[in-house]
Amino acid sequence: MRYIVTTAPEDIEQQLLMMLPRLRRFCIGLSGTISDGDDLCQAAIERALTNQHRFEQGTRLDSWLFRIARNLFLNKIRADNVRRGHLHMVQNQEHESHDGEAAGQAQIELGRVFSEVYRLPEEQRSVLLLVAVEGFSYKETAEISGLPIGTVTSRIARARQSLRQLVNEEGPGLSASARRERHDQKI
Amino acid sequence: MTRKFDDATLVAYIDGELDDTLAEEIALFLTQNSEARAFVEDLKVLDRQLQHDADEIAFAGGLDELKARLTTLAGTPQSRIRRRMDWGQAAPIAATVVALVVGLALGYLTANHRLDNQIAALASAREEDQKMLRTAISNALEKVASGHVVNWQSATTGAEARVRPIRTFKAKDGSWCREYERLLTFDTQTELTHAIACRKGEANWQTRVVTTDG
Repeated sequence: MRYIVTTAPEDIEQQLLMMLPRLRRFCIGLSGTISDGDDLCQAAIERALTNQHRFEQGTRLDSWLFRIARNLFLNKIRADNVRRGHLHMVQNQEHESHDGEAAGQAQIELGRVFSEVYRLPEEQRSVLLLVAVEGFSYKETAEISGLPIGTVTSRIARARQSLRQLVNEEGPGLSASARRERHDQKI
Repeated sequence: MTRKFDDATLVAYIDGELDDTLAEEIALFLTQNSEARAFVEDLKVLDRQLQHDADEIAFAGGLDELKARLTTLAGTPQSRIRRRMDWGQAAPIAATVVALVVGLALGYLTANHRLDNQIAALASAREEDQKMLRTAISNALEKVASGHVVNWQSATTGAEARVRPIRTFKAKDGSWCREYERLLTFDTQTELTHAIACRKGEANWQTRVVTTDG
């Protein structure tokens, strides 16, 4: 049994704004910083508000909103890559924020695990955020991303493996707390 | 390193993407394979930390500024109104301008107020969830055989529940009652409860006893 909120046009605006905190963390996760994430989030809400009539009744409004945000993000990194003059996009954009001080700043700002998400290739990042943070099923994630479900399944597995490695490399503090938490659970 | 189930299958297991038979098989396998168990536990810990970070970020500093930017957006359509100037009608126009400015300011304030309400409305959405969940539980108890699972998910808050009737019996007063299990997931928290509900009429089940697992 699954309840899908069907939406009267006048409610869409209100519901979109209610989703703002969820959309915001998704956008920040994709973009790597709060300020870039908030810009993306704003653009996505604007786009959704002006395209309300395109929303398909009986489908999930949150899926639609996340799809808009994801597409805007992809368009932007494509444009950025073209501007920088190299066409090998998407794959592994190691950001300048990943040396030293800036990386430390990101950890403080975004949290230790969340800040590592940005080190994953974009294709894994968005799938991981949709499944692990937003709780979408693989099928829903496939629909949002316009990907076959098999691709989602393999990307999410790779994303989780990489994240685990990144976090384990990233210093003993976290693994210690992870161990402690695991220990607490056993009790 | 080869084992019976590869990483991708274990990941799908964590995400609840496998059918019940395979999931049970993996649960058993995990009790026997410590390396796989460590992998799964690691990922679950990571998930919780990731969700915790994400929850903080959703409401981190800057949310108010973002709301304000969106509020400004909500106020803009009126500012696009263009009027041809006719100096012979200066006084009425001045009055119109004043009215327009006041209107815009009011519009801005109203929009800002509305936005705050909408953020606060998350709380009432949760209440709405409770109502919908109660209906879902009643329907499950009415229609589903013991041992079968019914999934429910809220489209607005992301809350999820699994409801599983366990057994059916007849109470002393002659009404039909059922024991059921409810696993509720909201944000990073999960809550498993056992409860007994009795039928009060067509698809109307009243929950009488609830215990929460530790």
